[in-house]
Amino acid sequence: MDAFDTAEIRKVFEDDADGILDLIAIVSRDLLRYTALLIEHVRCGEWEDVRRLAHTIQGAASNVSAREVVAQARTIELAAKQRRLDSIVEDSHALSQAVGLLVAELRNWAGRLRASHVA
Amino acid sequence: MTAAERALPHDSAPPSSALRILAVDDDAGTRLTLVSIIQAAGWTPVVVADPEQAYDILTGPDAPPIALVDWEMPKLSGIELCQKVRRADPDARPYLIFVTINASANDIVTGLDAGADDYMVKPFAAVELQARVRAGLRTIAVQSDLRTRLREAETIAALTKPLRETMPICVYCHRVRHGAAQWSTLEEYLHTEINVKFTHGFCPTCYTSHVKPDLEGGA
Repeated sequence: MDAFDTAEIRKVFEDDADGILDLIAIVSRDLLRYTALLIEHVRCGEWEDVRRLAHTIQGAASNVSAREVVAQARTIELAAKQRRLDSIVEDSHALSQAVGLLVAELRNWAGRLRASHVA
Repeated sequence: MTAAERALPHDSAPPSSALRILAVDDDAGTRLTLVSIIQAAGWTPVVVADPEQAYDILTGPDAPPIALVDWEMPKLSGIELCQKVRRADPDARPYLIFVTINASANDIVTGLDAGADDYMVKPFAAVELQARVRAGLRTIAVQSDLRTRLREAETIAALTKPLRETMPICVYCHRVRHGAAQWSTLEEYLHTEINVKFTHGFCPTCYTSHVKPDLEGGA
């Protein structure tokens, strides 16, 4: 499964490369920032903040239809809500990895888009 | 802040007279996505990050008829925003669509019970959101038509109210009394009060008793 849905993003932005590049910049920046904060809150045991950030990550990831990241963040949100803390540390690191991969792929796509846009 | 974020429309007046759609979401990526989806459909986006600002727009003059509302936002949740808007003016009724990541059946029930008219779970297809906005516009049109008809019916009911009440009528000249002590012919009264217009003719009985003898006598 692809980390995100290029076809849907192209549809939303009607193939406007500038719009897509802006979206990628915003989503990449926000996902990395939110995930770093989430890991920090998990470390401190601040579960309401963990829940809120997991929710925010789902919203940001859904903008590029990154269903896998959305699903992983949802698992953490539910766990934090129900104070099921047994797997939350592991899950948050898995999410961090998935976000890293997603952002890398997004930036990769952005590079290709930029190259074809300039060409 | 990216160039796109700086370029996002805010609460300023839209440049065109196209239908305005309000979107409120504290996530910059979602705002950018919604702007693109709204513009692609030919509507004008009015996009804000602050739900309190969204409330002011929705309850102010020239409020957009449709709003896309995020659930989880700082200061005021989407749920609270819907409830506040509904309490503010039950007759204004902007069409509110939740656009949220909250996907459980309980969430959907909570959102709709808070006063939302529709509910969309992210991620979603752009065409689906546009179709739901169009469905909302149809609902708004029907509601608006019903309100117009209701107002017309109320006006007619008020005008014709005296006709459903007991009205004194003179046994000799058949003038009716209205107001304090004003007497008018039935024709004058109906014309003045409810703008009935009369054309003159004769009924079959009067034709036989009046018109026909006149015609025959004349011949």
